[in-house]
Amino acid sequence: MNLQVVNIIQVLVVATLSPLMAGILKKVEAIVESRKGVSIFQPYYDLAKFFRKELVIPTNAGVVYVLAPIVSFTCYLILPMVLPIVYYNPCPYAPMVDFLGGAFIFGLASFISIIATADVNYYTAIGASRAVTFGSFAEPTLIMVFFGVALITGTNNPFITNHVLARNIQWILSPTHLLMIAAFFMLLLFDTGKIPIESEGLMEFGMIDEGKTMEYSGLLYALSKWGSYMKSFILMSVFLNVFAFPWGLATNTSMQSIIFGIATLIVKMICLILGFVFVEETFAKLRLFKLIDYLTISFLLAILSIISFFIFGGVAY
Amino acid sequence: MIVSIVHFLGVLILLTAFEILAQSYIRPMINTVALQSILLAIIMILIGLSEKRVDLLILSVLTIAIRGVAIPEVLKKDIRKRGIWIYREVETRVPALVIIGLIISIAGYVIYKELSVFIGRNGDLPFILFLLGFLVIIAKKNALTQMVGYIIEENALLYAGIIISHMPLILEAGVFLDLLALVLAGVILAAEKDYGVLELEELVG
Amino acid sequence: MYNTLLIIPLIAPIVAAVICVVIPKLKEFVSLISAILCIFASVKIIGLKSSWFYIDVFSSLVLILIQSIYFLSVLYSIYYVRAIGHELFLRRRYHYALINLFAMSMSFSTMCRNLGLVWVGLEATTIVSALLIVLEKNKTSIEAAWRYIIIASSGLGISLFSIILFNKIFNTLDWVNALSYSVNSKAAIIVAALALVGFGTKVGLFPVHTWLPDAHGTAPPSVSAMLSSTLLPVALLAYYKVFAPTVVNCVNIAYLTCFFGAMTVLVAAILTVPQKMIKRLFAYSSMDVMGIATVGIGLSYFTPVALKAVLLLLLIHAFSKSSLFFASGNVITYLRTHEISKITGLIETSKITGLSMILSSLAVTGAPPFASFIAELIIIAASLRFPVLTAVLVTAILISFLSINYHVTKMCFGKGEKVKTSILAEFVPAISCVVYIAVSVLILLYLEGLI
Repeated sequence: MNLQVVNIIQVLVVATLSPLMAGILKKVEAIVESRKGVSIFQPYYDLAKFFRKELVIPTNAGVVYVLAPIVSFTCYLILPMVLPIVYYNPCPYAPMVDFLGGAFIFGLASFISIIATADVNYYTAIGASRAVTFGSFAEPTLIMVFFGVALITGTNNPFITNHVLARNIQWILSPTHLLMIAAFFMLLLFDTGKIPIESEGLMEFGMIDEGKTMEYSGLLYALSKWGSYMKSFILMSVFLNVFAFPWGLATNTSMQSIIFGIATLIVKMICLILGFVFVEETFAKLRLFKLIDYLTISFLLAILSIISFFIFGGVAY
Repeated sequence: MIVSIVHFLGVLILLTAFEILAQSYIRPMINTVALQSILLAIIMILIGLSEKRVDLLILSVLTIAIRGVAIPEVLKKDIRKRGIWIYREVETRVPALVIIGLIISIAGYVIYKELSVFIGRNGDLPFILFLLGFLVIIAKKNALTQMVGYIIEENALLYAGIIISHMPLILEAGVFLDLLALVLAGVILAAEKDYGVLELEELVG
Repeated sequence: MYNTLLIIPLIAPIVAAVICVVIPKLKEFVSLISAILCIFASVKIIGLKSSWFYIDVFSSLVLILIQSIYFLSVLYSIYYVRAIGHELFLRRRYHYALINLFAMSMSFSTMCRNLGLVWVGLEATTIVSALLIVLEKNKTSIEAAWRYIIIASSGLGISLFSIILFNKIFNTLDWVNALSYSVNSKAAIIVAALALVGFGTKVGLFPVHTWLPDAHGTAPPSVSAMLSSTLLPVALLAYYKVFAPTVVNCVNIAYLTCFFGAMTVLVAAILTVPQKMIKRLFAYSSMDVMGIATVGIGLSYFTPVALKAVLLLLLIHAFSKSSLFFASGNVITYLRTHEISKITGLIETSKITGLSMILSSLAVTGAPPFASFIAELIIIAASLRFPVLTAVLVTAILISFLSINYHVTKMCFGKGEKVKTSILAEFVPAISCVVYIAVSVLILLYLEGLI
């Protein structure tokens, strides 16, 4: 198979499977809570419904307001082309970006959604300002995690990181790497809006990312909702494929290998979803101003991982 | 193999110290310090077995028995009985404390790097842990938390004694440190029985 | 023969402590007997060296001080424990048992040549003395004990760290053997600096002295006397045992010691001025003297005679300070107040207490006829190679001389009330006065031999 085809397959996998993962998360949570729960395909039905609805735009909204969901959706479509989602070697466009480049694309998506919604309505403004405030506290952790990766592998390229980690089991079990995983997991919970950070539903007191989509409707709401599913999916697959479990990606471009890659990705992701469910069901939502503490702890873990790298001089064989 | 396990446990011990620093409720703090002592005891057992040193094995038993079980249980029993420590501390400055702790650990690492030429490379973790124990004692005001800080310090010292040099009197030192810890616990309990929560505020200058 | 004498200061107090607990009736008698035995044994074993114990001039002097103050404190406890009257934290027999153990642990720390055991002894003194401080059952004394124990134990933690590094660098814990080794100067200064902070906590050096006024101020006078006049020298001796082997490798250690000593003297002298409580005043005065002694130890690297001056200073300070504490105990039991402003006319209240307080405060601040004057003079003379140090020392000594004597004269003269006095209570401070006056006379007679 051509690499361009693999590229498109990665994009398609992210676009089509991301609502499914959201549905599975909801379903597992419902089972744990002894509810029956909705079908795992409910997010697809929701998206289809939103696409059919009428589009209403507030009178005080500008051009950016209309553009934002489209731009951020595009960003999330570009990211799978440059990250290891199912195939373990770089696809044609991948050499253009490293971790920081990926972070820039993520940054563009959230930046545009923030400036689009900052002055539309009270609730969207609250969501936007909270996203900026807490996002700025999350950023140092992200940078430290990238530093940690760069220290271990000598590069900031996700593919090389994946290869180095997959080949050296002692790196996987080193304190540096485990602490980094912990820091990144906390960041993942933050970025995907899981329970210690945000609770499901339109609760004005605690909402951060949900708040920003408050005024959207119809097509634009569908795009931003789908975009947020894709964002979670991409972050989860980066966490799995680059940090936590770098094995099981497709190693060549044959059909079986790619299908095997997709299957293992789904299995790994379901395991991660079980982890999310554990966190969501055992922790209570933090009060809003305690989020800084939460992010401080994740920063702490990232720093400690780097300190331990220097203390032990890398891997202890 | 043993070395890398010991390193990993060392990092976990450091993490528990930070958890204590960031924790504003008393009971989880006591549980964490008990966990820390048990982790240290595992290190002692590993090194004691690999170097065939009986004193380390005895010390590990003491560590688990006194700082892992006895003192935390006594303190928790006190909390349960009196109901005075079930609330969080009045002042909590978690982000500030954690950041100070981070600065201290980086500074500790840098300082130790200077010394490591003469002393050997392994002492960073105990050194940082010791500084963090100090920080807990200085930054927190109530007696139980300071007691926890004291136990962290004691753990750090024994850890240093094992890792840095083959200190011949480590067992005796450990016994006396434990005795002092027990006296500390006794003073706290006796004081709280009569006067309520013990916080350092009455004496000045 | 010598070896059996050697263990008497270690065994006799333990036996006495056991008897105190088992047969409470004999507690006072047994403690006195054990103290007398210890005094004789420690006079006999001056200069003894074995593989475990090393008793040079410094150690033997501290050892004799420990035993004498131990004797006086037991004697004074007999009066004071009965006189205070209110509820006690520990039962009386445990109080006596702990005093015995306190003396034992200090002797142990003084005699050992292995630094690990020196540390163990000091740690034991912390355990025992913390319980002794809380004799009177009130919140202040428990809080003082808590502060003492938490600060002292952190400090001892630092000194254990220093000893661990000492072992790593010198490959031995024996300080006498370590004297002949030469090591890297940077490593040496690290060990010494950690020891200075660590043992300095127990000595009461400036940044880590905060427990000292609380503990010495709230402890019963007999315990304050032991804490002030013997525990501080014991801790100083422990620091000296690290100082001596390391300073030959790095001269900066001597500067560091002088610096912290001078800071302590200055801070303590300034803090004596605004004091309101009688025993806290004397606690700051102890800190002041310890600062001078620390400077003396630092200077002994350049001028060896300064060490002899330190010994002399410690000797006079031990007896005069314990006399001050015993006298203040009398004041507290007679007049039922701790506040300096409420005490007047002590000489009218009780002639002996008032006189011994005036004499002792003169002796402790280094007034001319007493030997402490000579000691301070030698240390100041030795400090002349660093003019700034001399200036600081002279200023601080003057300030503390003026302020302590001002407070004491204000308490002693004037119109005093008549109360019923106790012979035992009068006797104990007087006897320590007699000791240091006798020592001063001897020193004046044989001054040439000293220098």
